[in-house]
Amino acid sequence: MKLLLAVMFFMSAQVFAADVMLHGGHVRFLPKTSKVTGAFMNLMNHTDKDLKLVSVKGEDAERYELHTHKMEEGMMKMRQVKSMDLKAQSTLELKPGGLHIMLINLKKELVLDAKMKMTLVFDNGFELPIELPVKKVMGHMKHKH
Amino acid sequence: MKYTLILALLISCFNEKKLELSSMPDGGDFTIKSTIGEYQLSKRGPVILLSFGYTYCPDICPTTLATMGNVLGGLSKEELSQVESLFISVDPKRDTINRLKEYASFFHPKVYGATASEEKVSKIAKLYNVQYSKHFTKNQDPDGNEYNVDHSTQSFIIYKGKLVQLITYGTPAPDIINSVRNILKENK
Repeated sequence: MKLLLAVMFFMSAQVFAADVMLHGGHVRFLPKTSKVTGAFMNLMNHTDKDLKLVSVKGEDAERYELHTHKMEEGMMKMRQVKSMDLKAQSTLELKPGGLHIMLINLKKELVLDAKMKMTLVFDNGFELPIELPVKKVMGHMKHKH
Repeated sequence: MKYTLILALLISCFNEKKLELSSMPDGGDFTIKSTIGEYQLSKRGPVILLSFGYTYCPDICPTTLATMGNVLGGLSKEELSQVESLFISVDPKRDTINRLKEYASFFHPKVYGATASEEKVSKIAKLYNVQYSKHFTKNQDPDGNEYNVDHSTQSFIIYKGKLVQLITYGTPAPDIINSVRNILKENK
């Protein structure tokens, strides 16, 4: 039974994985004192339908929120957003200084290179389980073209 | 007519004030409690990469400090002996010196943390035109200890206590290294 369930889970994940694909991605490694961190990644929508990322589930933090940054009045303001648009046949970029998933009140210490599991939930009910490595984020680098 | 003119003049003054926000602030010397003891800007360095933020900051501050870490890590031993980075927390309510110690040194051993009373931090921030304000999301208790701090993102290069260059958020580490090297060369 367990095996059957595992196979079914694997197959459903495979079907979905072909529709929305995760490229790269990491959770930011921060000092032990940090209770919050960010998750960054690229998501590609290979379907002909617009999707919205509406929530994130996981066991490693009390809350997972969708956030963005905007520059206003000379200050960088981080604000929660209800959803993130993942348009048909395009890529959604979650990156430092922009859209990101915020992990709030971490339940355990961040461990460099450890994998963190979370599940992305889309407006059409699709759920994409992902695993992101914990990585030390570099500072601003020269853009390579 | 007269009033319209006065009004127009007032508006233009106001606009100019707004533009000044992104221009070079006056800067200035100060002393502050830091992770390495009492810290006087003009007595340290001589080159100091100064930035403002808070340790609960999930994205902007760690990126800025990672950049500072890359700058310090990219300097020669001789250059590094003349350069350090100071991170001032604008959130003294939550950021103790102990907390700052672990946070700042995570990025490089020569990144130091500092903070002071709300009044003192505000005075120092004003010298550098750094603005910040607390923001509570709907999930956060307005009287609680969980909040975000909106804040300016620019950093500063200080030489012997004087502000010599403004670093805008997003400036890559190699560009900052070049600036630091030029400052060291000019003052040899």
